[in-house]
Amino acid sequence: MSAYLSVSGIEAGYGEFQVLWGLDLEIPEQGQRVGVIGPNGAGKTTAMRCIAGILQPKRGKIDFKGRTLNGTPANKRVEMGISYVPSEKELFPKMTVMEVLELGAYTKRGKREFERNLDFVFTLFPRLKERRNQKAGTLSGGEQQMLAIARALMSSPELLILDEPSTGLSPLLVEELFRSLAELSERKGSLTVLLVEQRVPMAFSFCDLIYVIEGGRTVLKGEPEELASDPRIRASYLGGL
Amino acid sequence: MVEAALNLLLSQLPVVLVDGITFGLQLALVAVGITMIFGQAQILNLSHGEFAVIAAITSALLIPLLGVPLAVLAGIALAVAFGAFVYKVVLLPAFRLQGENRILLGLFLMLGLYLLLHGYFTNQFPTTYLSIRPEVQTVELLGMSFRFSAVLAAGISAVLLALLAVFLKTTMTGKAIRAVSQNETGSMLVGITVDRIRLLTFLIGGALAGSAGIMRGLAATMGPESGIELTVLALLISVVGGVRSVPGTVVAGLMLGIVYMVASFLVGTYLSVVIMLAVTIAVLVLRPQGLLGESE
Repeated sequence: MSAYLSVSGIEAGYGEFQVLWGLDLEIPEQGQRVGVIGPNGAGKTTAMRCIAGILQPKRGKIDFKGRTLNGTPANKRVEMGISYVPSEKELFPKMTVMEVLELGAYTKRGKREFERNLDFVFTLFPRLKERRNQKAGTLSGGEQQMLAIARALMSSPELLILDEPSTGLSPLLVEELFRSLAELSERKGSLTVLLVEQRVPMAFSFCDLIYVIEGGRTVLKGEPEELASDPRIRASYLGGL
Repeated sequence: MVEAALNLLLSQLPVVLVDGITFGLQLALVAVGITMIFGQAQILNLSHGEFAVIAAITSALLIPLLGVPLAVLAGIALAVAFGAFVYKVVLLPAFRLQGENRILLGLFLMLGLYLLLHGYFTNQFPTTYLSIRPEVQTVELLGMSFRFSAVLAAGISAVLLALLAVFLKTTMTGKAIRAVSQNETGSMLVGITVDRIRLLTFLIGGALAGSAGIMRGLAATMGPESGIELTVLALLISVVGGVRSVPGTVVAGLMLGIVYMVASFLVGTYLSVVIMLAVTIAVLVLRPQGLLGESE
């Protein structure tokens, strides 16, 4: 049995500037929550961009459910069920919340379950329902983050990639967000989450499996309990707790 | 003296206003294409007015063979096809680049294309002019008599611009066009095929500029050398309207069209261009982001 998602030996970067130097990452089974941690500039976002298809790796392989993703453009990957919530959010600032959500369901896959998904995201983020006629660019940072996640959910994803969803949010909102995310993955048992997170304790309590990336390579992998007792991880990521 | 001039202006004002609106809407048809193409592809299409020439010259040549309606449709169809050619062939090298490099190479390619087309049309068809004259010459409205062709051209232009606005606002494809011009990466992430949407924008731009050429031939005369004037005035309008804002472009087109025609009526054509430029500068000093453009 091949893994649900397998990234092997990818090398990628921007022009002459290479960021990933043979990165490996695997999500063994559908429905898992996998976290990626590492210092700034380690290549976490670059790896996510490669999986989403916004960036094509120079070398290496990405397989999704036993089929190669190499060469498949980002928009086709959305149709296959891969949705990416980038840390820059990449919203449409002059469109209303409702229009952004409609565009989230642009694919056939999303249109099929439009009403159900809309109900679902409005239940998850009631704030968005209140602001559905407001322009996305006028929302607060936290609300924009909710909208970016909601937009991705409108495509009926089976693999949801979240890139630092807690950036710019108050601690209170971060807790609220992770409660929503946990609720989300419990309600949709088949939903697989790949999470890049700076707040390591958050990632540890949310995920089943953690990858540590440094210098464009995978340096460690394991279950959160395992890693939490690793002295290196405790020193660098958990503040010596 | 002043009083006499004022009285003349007041009595003729409605007619001059209609001419201004007609001209402004034609410019808006060209300018929305420039605005949309720039928003989608970061290409400043300096040859956009030539799409209008293509449609006008083609129609003028075909009218004796096919009659007005078919000839006009063939002219617009050729402008649309040329839009596809520009995007898929002429601009191919520019789309290999990103950011400033793309803008620059795109600018040079479009400037070259303008020179090529302008030279071709003025040499090959120096005396071909499109001038459609309906049998009905005037219409009476509120006791005033207006040129029917000007009113018709304004009406058709307004309908086309309204259709475009409804299309962009309500259809999923229209929303995808707006999405691509607001955020390309975001568009890819929701599953939009950016290449297809861009091609569509060039087709729409070609159709609207082609229609502008026909409308110009209906309200006045459209010749092989008229392209650059349309391009330059439309560029002014898209800047005044706020680049990337389609409603702003229409408002700016109406404003500058009316200013131009009223000024021509009062002080003559030459000074009217100066006055129009002065109004443009005034708007940009007061609102650097354009009339309806939003500051980033």
